[in-house]
Amino acid sequence: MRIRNRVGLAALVLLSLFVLLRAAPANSGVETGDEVTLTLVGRVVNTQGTAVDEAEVRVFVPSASSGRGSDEETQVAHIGADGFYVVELTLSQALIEAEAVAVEISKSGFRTTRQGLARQEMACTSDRCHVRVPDVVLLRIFNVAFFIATLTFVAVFVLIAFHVLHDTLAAFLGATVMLGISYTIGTFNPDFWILGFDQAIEFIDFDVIFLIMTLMIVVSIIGRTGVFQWLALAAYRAARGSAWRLAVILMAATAVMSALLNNVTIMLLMAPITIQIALMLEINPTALIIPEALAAEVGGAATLIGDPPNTVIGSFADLGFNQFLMHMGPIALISTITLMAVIYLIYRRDYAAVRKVPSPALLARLEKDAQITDPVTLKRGLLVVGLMMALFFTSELFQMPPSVVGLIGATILLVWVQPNVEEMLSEVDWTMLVFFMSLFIVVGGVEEVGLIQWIADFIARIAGADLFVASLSVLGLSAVASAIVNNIPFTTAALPIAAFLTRTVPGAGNNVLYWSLSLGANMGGNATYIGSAPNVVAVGVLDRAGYRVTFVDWLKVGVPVTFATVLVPSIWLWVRYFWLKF
Amino acid sequence: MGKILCATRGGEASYRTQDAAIALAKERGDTLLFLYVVDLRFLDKTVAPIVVDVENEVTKMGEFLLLMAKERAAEQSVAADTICCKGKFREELKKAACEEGVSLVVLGRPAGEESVFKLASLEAFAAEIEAETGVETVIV
Repeated sequence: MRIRNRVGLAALVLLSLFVLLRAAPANSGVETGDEVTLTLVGRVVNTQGTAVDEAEVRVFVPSASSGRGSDEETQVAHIGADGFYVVELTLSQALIEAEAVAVEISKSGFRTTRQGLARQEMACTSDRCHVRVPDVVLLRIFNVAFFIATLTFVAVFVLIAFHVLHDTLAAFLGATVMLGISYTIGTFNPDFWILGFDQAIEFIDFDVIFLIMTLMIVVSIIGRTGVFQWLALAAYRAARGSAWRLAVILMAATAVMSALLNNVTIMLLMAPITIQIALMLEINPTALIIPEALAAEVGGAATLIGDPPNTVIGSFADLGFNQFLMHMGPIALISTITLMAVIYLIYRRDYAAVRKVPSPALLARLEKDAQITDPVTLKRGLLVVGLMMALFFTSELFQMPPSVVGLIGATILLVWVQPNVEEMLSEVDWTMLVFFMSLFIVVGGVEEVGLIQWIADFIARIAGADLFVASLSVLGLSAVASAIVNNIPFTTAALPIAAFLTRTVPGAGNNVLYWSLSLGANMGGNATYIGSAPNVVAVGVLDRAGYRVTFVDWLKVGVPVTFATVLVPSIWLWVRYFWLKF
Repeated sequence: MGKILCATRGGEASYRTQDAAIALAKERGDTLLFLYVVDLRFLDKTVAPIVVDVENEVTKMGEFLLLMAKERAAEQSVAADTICCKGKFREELKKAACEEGVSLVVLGRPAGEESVFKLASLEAFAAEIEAETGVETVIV
């Protein structure tokens, strides 16, 4: 959007230069009676100062046959994506002198605005006048499209939260409803128009899609080598019979790995072997698996690639890998330590009941299951991950989007390892990618009709000019919402709100609102098992092993952990961004 | 000498069922066959990048649980075999009952509110097994 604005401004400057060059020799006045060419340049924004695209601009001049009050439409122009418009028309100098020209801006879902042109705002030569029309702020009206889009958006979230439909199907349905209504009823009645297909495609963040897709390929290849299972067994050996030490090692290892690789994949591979270790030690597997899942979410908060909400935030707000690591890394570290302390308080009795000497047959079986099956691929995979990390660290120097780093890593690994490409690509979880694309469209739809703007205005009114209140509002709202709904859709919907507050609340240029959103979305997702994907995996695998974890069972652990892992890093946020400001 | 089929999922509730099946096998002089069914439908509950062979990992876990059950039987001097298969529990249990030529199917009584089956539906399932496979089915 910034680039578009720059292009628009550049076009405006060039146009002005062109007009001025054509104007030589300069003339301070306009000779009455002649015709002049009037060039109007202007920009249309909403109440948040964001460009309003695809609006219509009409220029009105008094009709030759009648007096003022019966205007004649002379020119129509469409506003570009950057909100700028340029209109050129020829009219008599008398009309200009009489200040009879008016500009009318209209767009479905906004109140039509009309603005007269004052003579003193014009720069004129003998045959040309140029005017930079002051920015027009369009005010929202809540039309039918607003209510349809809002209902669709809420319905998608309800379907996801209550598992009525698969998440992907729910988001897909929402996108289809919005586009379908726009292209049927909306074609005949503009009040029903939500968004067009081109706009919908523009709302899809392909940086996010490509990054997630390429990381899936990398993790998929490494995951086949047995390294995660081997790590779980190594953790058991390093714990030397102490269940608490084992839990700490597993939480730390999962948190670190989740910061660098996809945390769901790590949970899928670590959970079954961790359950086996727990059963061998005769402790309740929930005492190891639930902390592991919670650590996966907490650790994933540290980097741009650790958890999908961070990937979405980074791409939207143009925040790089290093920025994420510098700001979210300490938060994730503090949260992990806090998590360990709370887990100890909850599970200390389970850890004390450990069987010191495990069954030899079970240990032998575990060792068989936890072997590195393909050391050559593992070495190559780790080298490529190392290269990707180096590229992520230096990507800001080259202005390289994270998706390109992912693409380079995945391609090198595919060429080097040469797996069955068809098989490998078929293992990319397209369901998730379609989910993301549909979700971007649904959120784009409510952004188009003004719901996001309305919510942002509401929060801005509560926060006023107080950045700390705004930060707490974003943090609290994201933590609570992410506990109820999967944190990916919530983050996608909340981002435009955080962006608006970052633009309008004084001092928010340090991006603290984005870090608050990331903290809330990542930690809040841990309160319930439906809040984040690693939690769902943990509950599912535990259930397969005969350990059923109910919603309430999870709340007993998830709520205190979430409370602590949000509260303690909040203190850090306050110290870093509001007190010491470093 | 007959064969007793005991479906198991692991966990505390399953241990009670396993112990009852082991006791029955010992009493009747039968061998035991423990069954674990790999069912990955829980993955449908969320959107997440499933890019690894989860089935293989859960199968390994199932085999581990079966090994535990086998050790439990061995402690009581009862010989036991194991089957780990993929699919839906109900279908796989009936299929195993037919294919393995078992003489008795043992199902565990629901342990509480959190059990997968309620007693009434478990009794209906036991009747269904008997009707479709002709194998006696008991709830212990």
